[in-house]
Amino acid sequence: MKIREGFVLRKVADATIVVPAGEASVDFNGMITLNETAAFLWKLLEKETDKEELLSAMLSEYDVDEERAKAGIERFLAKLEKEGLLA
Amino acid sequence: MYRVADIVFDAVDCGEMFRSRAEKYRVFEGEPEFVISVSEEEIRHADGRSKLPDDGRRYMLSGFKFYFELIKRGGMMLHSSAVVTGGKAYLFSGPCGIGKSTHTSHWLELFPDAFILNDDKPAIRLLEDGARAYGTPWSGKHDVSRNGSAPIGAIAFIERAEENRIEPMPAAEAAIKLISQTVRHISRPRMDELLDTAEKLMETVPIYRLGCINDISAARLSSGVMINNKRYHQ
Repeated sequence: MKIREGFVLRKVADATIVVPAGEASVDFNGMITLNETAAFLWKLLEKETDKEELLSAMLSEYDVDEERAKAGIERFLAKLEKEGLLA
Repeated sequence: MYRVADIVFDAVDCGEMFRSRAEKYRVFEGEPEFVISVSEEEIRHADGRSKLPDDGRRYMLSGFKFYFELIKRGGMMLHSSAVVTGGKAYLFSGPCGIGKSTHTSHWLELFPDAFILNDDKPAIRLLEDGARAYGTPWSGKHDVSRNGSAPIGAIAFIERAEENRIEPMPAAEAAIKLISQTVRHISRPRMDELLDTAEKLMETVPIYRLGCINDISAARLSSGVMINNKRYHQ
């Protein structure tokens, strides 16, 4: 799985924002604020990846137990899916 | 040729509405940096404003083209009503119908020297000595604008509220608001430039969230805070 093309990610102060550009701006009018972990996952998802890779990256980057990391990834992916942000 | 926000350009096929509203921006000297033209094809594909007659679409598209050029030059349009008093510009932004013009009209009542620089789409440029707002030929239904400019004192995003309140806006939210009240549908390189400009603008100019009821009491509050930058910490 992978994030759709055409989104610009930018760190502003203590948050990361995602704005659509080019083709993506035609059918996606919203803007997204990401917290640190969400931004971490987003960057991984800019290249083709899968849930297992996301989980192992999360576990090596953050001090978090597997259950919580898994749940967090599922929630984030569900949100991306709902907003139509996955390619 | 025209000069808007200190940018000299030429315009062809931009229609009558553009010509009449841009009249006070005409210049007769200088080299145009670019030429704005609107094609039949672009008029047919202009989205969202299907009710506009062709001439209105030409006018609207000529504005978008100018504002794209402005982004390349480190500036941006902000969908806002800009009022000038005491030599400084105060910009009130927000979605259509939120009461931007109503709010600035109350500033006109409060300050005898106040005038509207642009009622809908002022240009902003970042210069060495700070951020400056400019009048443009694209200024809303009633074409309230002046060919002039002023350093920006503060920017506020208006929201409807039960009572008047004003507070500094957190940086990430301010960035999102700035991007959501400017030209849409831009390419990735333009978006990168626009985000650079928005970030610099936030470092230069205080940005507030203004919750207001639509009467003059809101203008008393906003002017008291924005002119003196009271209670602004970032």
